Amino acid sequence: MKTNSSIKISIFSIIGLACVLGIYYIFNHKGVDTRKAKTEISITTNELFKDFDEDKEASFNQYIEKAIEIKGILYQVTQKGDTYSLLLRGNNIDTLVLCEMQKDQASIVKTLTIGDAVKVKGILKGFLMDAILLNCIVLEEVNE
Amino acid sequence: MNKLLLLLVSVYSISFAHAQDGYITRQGEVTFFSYTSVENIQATNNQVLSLFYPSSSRIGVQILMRAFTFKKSLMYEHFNESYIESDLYPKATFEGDIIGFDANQEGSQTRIIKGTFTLRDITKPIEMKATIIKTNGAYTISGELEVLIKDYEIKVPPILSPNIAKNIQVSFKFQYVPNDDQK
Repeated sequence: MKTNSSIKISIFSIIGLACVLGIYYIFNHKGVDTRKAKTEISITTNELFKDFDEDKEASFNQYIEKAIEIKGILYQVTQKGDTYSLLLRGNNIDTLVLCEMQKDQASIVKTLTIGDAVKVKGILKGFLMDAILLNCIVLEEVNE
Repeated sequence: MNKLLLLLVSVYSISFAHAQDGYITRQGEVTFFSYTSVENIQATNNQVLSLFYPSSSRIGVQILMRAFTFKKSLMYEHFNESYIESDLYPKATFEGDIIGFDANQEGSQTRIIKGTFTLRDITKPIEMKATIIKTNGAYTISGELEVLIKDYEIKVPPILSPNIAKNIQVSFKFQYVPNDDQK
């Protein structure tokens, strides 16, 4: 009988601990790691912005909050605090891809040169004048 | 019609002369704060688009709601799915005028900006104090304002009501460059 009680207490303790850890994880989860996210589409800046209008923008709504890969020409690098952003261009300079990089990308970003062909992976957030991606990482295919 | 022109038209009943003296930032910063005794929530968006026309004191802003970043992903989910409903209302916009702005004055000037702010397809008049700094042919505009969540019909479940402030404090900083420099 005493053994049964010990087993029950142990099981309830484990379940209780799992619940506490689960709740802690849910409330403190920092967000996606783009490396682990499945790539939904891989595209170039020229393919993205060719004939870009409201209908084409709407067709990309299915990729919002999903990981996408975009290859373009590095137009500008900006820095705010310890976060870098890459601005990629295609043939049309009016529309860019803004990629706010993950903080761990700083050392890679510093090796890039304006005019490089750069392929990034990030989470698509939507469109203003430009396409906006957050949590971006530089893929290995730089200067390919 | 390209998206820049669409924004220009929305900011302006435009003349081409106005378009030529435009300044732009693609990476303006907007931060909001919700202070309560239960929880403090802060989120920042560093990808805010704004156009500014010194000669006519006009300013336009577009904010992509999903580009706000929070410390915790659960806050981000609540913000976009429950409060803002970003699938239905992905952008917030502001259009307005800087009252008494002197485009020729170098350095800093503090002015009131009056205009309309649209969030969740609800447009309300709004005004705020802002500091405009002109240096080396570029402009920086920064300031603060307060947004009442009831004005924009943001529904907070009763159980979470103590966690969300009724008045949201918003700060912004836009560093503009001549639009032609972006080409």
